[in-house]
Amino acid sequence: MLLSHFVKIYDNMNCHLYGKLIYNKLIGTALLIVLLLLNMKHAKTNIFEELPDSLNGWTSENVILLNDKVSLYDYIDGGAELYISYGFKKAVSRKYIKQGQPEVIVEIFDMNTSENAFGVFSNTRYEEDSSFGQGSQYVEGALLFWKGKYYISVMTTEETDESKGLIYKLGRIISERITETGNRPGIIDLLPSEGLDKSSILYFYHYIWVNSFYFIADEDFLLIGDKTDAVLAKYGSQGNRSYVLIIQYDDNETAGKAYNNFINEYFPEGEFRAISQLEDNKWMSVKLIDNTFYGVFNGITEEYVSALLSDIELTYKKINIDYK
Amino acid sequence: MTKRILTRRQIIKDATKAGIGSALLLNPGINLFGSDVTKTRVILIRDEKAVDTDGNPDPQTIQKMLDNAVQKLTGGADIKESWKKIIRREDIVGIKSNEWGYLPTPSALENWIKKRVIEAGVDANNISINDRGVLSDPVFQKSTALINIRPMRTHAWSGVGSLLKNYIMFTDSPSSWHPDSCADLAKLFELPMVKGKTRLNILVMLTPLFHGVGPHHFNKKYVWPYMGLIVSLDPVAADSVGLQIIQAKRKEFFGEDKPLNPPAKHIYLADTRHHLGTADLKKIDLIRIGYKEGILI
Repeated sequence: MLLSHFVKIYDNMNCHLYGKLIYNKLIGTALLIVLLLLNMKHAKTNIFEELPDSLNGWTSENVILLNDKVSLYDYIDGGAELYISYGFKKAVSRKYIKQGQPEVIVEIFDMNTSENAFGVFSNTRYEEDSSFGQGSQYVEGALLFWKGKYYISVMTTEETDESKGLIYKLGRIISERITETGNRPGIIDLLPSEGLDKSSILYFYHYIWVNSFYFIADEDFLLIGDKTDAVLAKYGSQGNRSYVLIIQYDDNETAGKAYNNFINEYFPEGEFRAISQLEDNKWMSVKLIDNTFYGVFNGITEEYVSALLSDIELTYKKINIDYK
Repeated sequence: MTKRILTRRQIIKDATKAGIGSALLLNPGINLFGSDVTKTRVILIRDEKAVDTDGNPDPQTIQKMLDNAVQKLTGGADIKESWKKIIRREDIVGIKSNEWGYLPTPSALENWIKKRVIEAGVDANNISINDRGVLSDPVFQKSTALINIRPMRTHAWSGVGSLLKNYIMFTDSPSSWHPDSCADLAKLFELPMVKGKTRLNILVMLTPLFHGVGPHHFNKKYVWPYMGLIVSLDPVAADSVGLQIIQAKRKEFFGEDKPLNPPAKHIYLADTRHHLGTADLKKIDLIRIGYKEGILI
């Protein structure tokens, strides 16, 4: 549009030399404007500054910036550790108030990577839809979602029609203004799809979360530490649940140590079998493939655990074509 | 590996043989004044009128519940005598409360405890109710007796906000107690300001929080009117009973086992590692009083 406009101006100048000089200047300016516009379109949004000061009669005066662990501790005390365990970088909080309505609090966490943002989300949601961002859950006055490297919470202490309306509105604004999307952690691709409860996938890299679905042990004998990628997921339906744990180590040696720790602690009398039945009559198995530890727990039958293990191996082969 | 860790299989095997936690060490117990009672007794008292339909506590009902529980716990002939088994007239008493905004200790309970302590002969100037300001509170600084009271709730890092966790304000660096999901909170009871002073533990279960979402870990959807108080001389035993109720509620609500995330290992370790009290339900003398519907334990 801009270029054609300048071309028309040039034509009207009848190719005069002076006109040519002007033409060159105009073309240069036009190109500069186009480049600036393109740059603006693709510039990363600073979502921390994008929250409105007022909306539908609700106002927000204070912005609280949480730019380190200490300020996060001050803000949510022990709750801060969850975010720190997923690589918290910084966050912003705004409180919206309106006469006669409960307050609505918005918190946007910059988790540094999309994998971390998904991780926090996966740790707290138990159902998932795609209404907001790259995955969300709404629970009676609380909207939680993730998009790109951000994890977002919009909540009220008391759900009313108005406070719920504001939560949805703010959720949409934030979701639209975060222009970047991001990937979920690659380790999730190792989960077989058959029977997987997708809303249960829990990604983590801090050993604290290994017992999230099923108590395995009270110490970090699987050597997860605070930087080893791991994922937990539920298979089957309520009343017939099995749990899959996958841990991907930096090297085969650590993976081997973790595997041996498991065998030694769970089967100290050497009674380990490829698929074992525990004293609660449930079946389980652990397997080591290269640098990756697999555990299948709480299986109703030996056959089910065996089938799940086969799926695990097939999935691994598809992703790691060198695996033999 | 030389140290045997606690695995799921070990728990299952122990349960098959002699009940969950058979390996736990039994706490020697806490002696009441003038009494040889050393059993780990826990009183669970409930009243269907304890809270109204909005979850607000009814002061008269919860005062009666507390009196009833303390009398049953101590075996005193009447209320005054019961409190005198816990508190001496020369004591300086800190009532360690909890002011968490979404679910604080009800002020009616705090004030009732203060009234009973005064009736036990303690000068009102020697009693203080505090939470986050205990370190700078002159009464707490020179206290000889502590009463530990707080509501139970789930917690994003320690599994539950428990009586054990309630003492984290006795340190000027709470976050230094967070490693391993607050595993060693029982060591708070060894701090000089605290050691040997706790006379009574009251876990408020009027409207407990059984699940949390979001940074503030609170949503009204996950509180329910349990209408109870758990009272004990042993904070570990009281927490252990409360924890069982929270877990049972989670299973009822979610329709399947939904373990606390992370597990409240600090309660188990308070027994097995720190020997502060007993977490083993089979070794707790649980006395249930009052309303039974939906008791969950």
